[in-house]
Amino acid sequence: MILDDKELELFARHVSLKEIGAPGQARLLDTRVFVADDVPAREALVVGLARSGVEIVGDEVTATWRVEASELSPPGVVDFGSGQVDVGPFDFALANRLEASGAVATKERWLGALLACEIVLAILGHRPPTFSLVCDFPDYRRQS
Amino acid sequence: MSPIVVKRELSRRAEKPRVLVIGAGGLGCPIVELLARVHVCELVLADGDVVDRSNLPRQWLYGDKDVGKAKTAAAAARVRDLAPGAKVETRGVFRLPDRLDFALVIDGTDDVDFKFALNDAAIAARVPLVSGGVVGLVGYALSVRPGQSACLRCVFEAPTDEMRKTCRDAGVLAPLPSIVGSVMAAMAARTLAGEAPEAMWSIDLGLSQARPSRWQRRDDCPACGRPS
Ligand SMILES: [Zn+2]
Repeated sequence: MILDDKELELFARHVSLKEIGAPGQARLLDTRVFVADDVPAREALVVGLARSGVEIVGDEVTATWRVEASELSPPGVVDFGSGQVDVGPFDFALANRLEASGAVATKERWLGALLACEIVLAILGHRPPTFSLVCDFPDYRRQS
Repeated sequence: MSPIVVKRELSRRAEKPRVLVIGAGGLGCPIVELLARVHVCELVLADGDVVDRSNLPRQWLYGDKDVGKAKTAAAAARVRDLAPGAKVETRGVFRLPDRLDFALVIDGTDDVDFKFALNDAAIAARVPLVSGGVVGLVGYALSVRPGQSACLRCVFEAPTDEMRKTCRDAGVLAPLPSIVGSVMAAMAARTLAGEAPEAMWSIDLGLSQARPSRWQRRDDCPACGRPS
């Protein structure tokens, strides 16, 4: 798959990023992701993936990647593809302080955008097949 | 998006603090949207650019129909849709204001010389500043309380060639500015609420790490150091 002129223009900042490039962007454009309803920060995650060029599909059958909240260790364990991303519990004390100062909306945007980045990097092969993330707003780290 | 809870006293305050957001790009979009949604301040958004198609992957306030329009007008229209009642004033210029007559200034630009000039102006006017930057897979957010916490020059001293790399040259992962912008919005909301947020926060997606770091104000800082 080769990028056409419109795609090259739209994704110019991805094409010039050494971790993506034109082949990586073509791969993203060829990826179909299903995101289950109960995935945390779903709205921002879906926007982040779609704006990166990934197609969001409504059924699991045609998807090449699946993102779902795990039933095993709620809240915030996300499985996708053959891997698993554990987004861990939030730091609720900090989240509550942020809520009190009117900034709670930032937590969801942060997590959704962060998951979108990690999933894009996983699609591009920059993550091992299985890894977990521990997220304490506004910090996270990967555990492999 | 789950319901947003806002501290009552803050959002019902009759006179809301005025906040200047410079830059309506990858950082400015989430900052202005998130602050508008929680109704903690009146916003003044300044930027002289028009929306380009290459902006769309990371500047989520804009769509195809906005390409070619002034960013400030397109952003303000979208924010008023998302947060009815939010006050967003626009300035179609990208320059240091003559007077920093604001409760807080937020730097969402990608011009490193401008960042240092704005830092110095905020210190001189004793106005709190939230500064941030992204390129490639890395980003940072810095909360500056003049005279109390480290400023941009305490941390980085002066612009370097490495810092002059922009998303235009080195690229950027599309959702990354929204991560950094959310942290900047949280820093801004906490500053307005009278809290003292962590001074510096940085992220490296290559290492899958983000963390706060503590920086001391430098007595010999040319912007905020004490005169000897
Ligand atoms: Zn300083």
